[in-house]
Amino acid sequence: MWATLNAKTLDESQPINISLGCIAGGDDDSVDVPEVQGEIIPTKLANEFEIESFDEIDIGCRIDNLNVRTLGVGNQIVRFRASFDKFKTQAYLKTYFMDKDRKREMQRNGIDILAKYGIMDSAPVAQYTAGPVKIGAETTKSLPIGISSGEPILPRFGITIENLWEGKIEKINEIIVKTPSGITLEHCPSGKPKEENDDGLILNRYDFDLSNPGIGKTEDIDTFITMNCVMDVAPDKILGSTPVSTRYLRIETNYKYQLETRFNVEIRESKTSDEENYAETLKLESENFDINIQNMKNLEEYTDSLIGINQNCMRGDVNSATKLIDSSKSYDKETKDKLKHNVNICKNDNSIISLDIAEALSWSSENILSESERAKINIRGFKEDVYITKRDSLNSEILNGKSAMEKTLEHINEIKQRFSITPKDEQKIKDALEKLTLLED
Amino acid sequence: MSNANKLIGFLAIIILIGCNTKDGNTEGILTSKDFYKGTSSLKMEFLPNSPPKEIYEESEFILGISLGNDGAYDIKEGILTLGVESDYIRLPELDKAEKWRTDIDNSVQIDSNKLGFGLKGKDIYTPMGEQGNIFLALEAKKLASQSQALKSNIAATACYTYKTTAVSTVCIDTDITNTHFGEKGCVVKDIAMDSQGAPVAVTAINYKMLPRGPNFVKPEFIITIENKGNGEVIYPDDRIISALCGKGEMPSDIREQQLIFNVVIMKVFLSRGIDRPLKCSPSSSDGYTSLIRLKEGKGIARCTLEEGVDAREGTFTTPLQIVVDYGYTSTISQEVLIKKPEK
Repeated sequence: MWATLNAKTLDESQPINISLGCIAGGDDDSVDVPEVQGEIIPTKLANEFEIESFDEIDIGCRIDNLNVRTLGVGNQIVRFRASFDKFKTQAYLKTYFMDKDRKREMQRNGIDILAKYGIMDSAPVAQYTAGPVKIGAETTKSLPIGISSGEPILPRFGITIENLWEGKIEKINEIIVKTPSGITLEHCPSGKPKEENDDGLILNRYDFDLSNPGIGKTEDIDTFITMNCVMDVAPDKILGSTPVSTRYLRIETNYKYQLETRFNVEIRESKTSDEENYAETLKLESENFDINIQNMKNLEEYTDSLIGINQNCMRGDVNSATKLIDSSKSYDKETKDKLKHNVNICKNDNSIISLDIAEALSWSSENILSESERAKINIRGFKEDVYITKRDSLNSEILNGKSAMEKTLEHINEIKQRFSITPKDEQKIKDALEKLTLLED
Repeated sequence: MSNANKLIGFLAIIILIGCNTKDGNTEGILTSKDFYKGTSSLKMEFLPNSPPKEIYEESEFILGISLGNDGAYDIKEGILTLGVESDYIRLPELDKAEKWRTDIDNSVQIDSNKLGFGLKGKDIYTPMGEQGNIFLALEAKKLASQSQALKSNIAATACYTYKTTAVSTVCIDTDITNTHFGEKGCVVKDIAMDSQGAPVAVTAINYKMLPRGPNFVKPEFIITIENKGNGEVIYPDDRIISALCGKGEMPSDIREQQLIFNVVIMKVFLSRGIDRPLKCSPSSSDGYTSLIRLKEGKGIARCTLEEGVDAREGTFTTPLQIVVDYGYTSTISQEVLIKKPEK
């Protein structure tokens, strides 16, 4: 079974660590069915890996014959799981304050206070950043909140952390509430606030104590949790010199989330014998092996071509770079046009193009490795008579792949000497080369 | 008034005089009556694209407000207060005078978000009323790291005292029973009015003559006033004006009597050689100053000439002058979208 994982970080400076897994059977509604672990392919994705900005990854789940037999005949559910840690959701709630006497007087005169002071957002709701979790927050509905130094007003401040996606919050790592100077929280599952300066704005920062029973559970949340505090407002600090003062309450949480996608699979009784079944599997694997080898060849050509284009570009030889693009079979028309456009730019400044190419080269190296790994698994599909030939062709292609990666690393060095840039992809290529070396027979 | 405004006023007079025809037809000449029309007072608007609809975080932008007195009375000690969301928009500090610019002659910066101003109303020298602009350099603060954009509200609230004067000719008829021979010089008839160049307008004068002993009549006037402007009427007290255009607390005496919103002070005079004040109810302690509360924008007072008019004076017309004092407050606002710069 295959699935596609699309991941995009909200803040490139804060990469996400993702780990993947797949499980078949053992669904809640059918407790009798055993649960079996599948194998994530490519195997490099089975361990935790990092996504910095945007990525689209094809992932497969292989369940071997033994496990399929364990599950038995019938409808089964296969679950792909992606867990990402230290994911952050931020939210803010806008609220309004006014002198209590003035509010009372205006209400008595039937004046719509917020409309009178030109406030269009008369019933603000919490705004939260995109992601699997929604942060809800609310305070008193009668806005603006009337405050007075004579009569203490203690409006409620409620927070909800809600699971929005198909999955669950595995663990909440942190809940932080920041209030403007002049608003302190009481009866809250947190200690005393720390003062924080946010671009000249003084805030009270409350780090919630996650072991406090006031929060409820902080692990395996598939619905929502709520917590309540009371705001103590100091009128002299909050009202400022305007009739209605707008203030923001900020909330952020950091958590580990487990995303789950389910597929229904029907396991049927095989009409063929186990031997025939096995033969069919081997046939499929052998076909896939040839595809893997062809993909490796294409990627090596792609790598070679990219290096050639960039070297010409760095020499200022736009014509040769353009000829290379035209002669390459690795690109479709759209990619060729983009590359030609880039080549024209590189006459003036090659540093940006070089960085892009370094990224493309690292992508290519990682995919050469993935294809090699798959080929290594699929080679078992061949019978003895052709096995050795196929193994030799895989080894030869692995050598070609290594050579392409070494050439890539040399070119990256060339780029580094020429421009004062540090291609961040260099390490990825080195890692891929190291793993590819281990695949050699 | 600035020299430029005086010059404009002078030119306007010359142009108007030039419109007078040889036969004395004064059609097209502005008279004081023309200024006592309409329900405007302070006209306040954001200048085009000031503030812009969209701004980038950590960038300066200009807020421009045009102020003009579109009514017939002078604003002497008005206050303009800017309300911004201080978490996201920074006002220039009070000592940074270069960040505030205005061409209103009679203006003074009171606070980092507050300007005191005066603007003359419409008259023969300033037929459009005095006008001016205010420019202020504000700064959008940095958004939170994961926020792409945020809508923030900018509001400008003005508070000032204003006045309405309505003058109408009324008929005083001492012959209530119609026993005297001969045609009467006028008829007692209710008067409907529209506006007087101010947001609070006298809209009706209903009146009748009441007997006061055998030889006198007592004229009684029921006067209706209405808030026809877009703002709120407030009690004409400088402390309230200051409190409403700032965080200042309401004066306790006024707060206890609940005299803040929708309250006007009215005085009425009937010309009897000299202007005689009428006794009005509801009234304050002197009996002659009426304290009218507006309900749903409308209020009524009953006023009488207590000493009455001698029946021997017959039937005659005379001017009735109604003077209404009040404070007024109005707000304009605009949302700006603060964005992170595109990468």
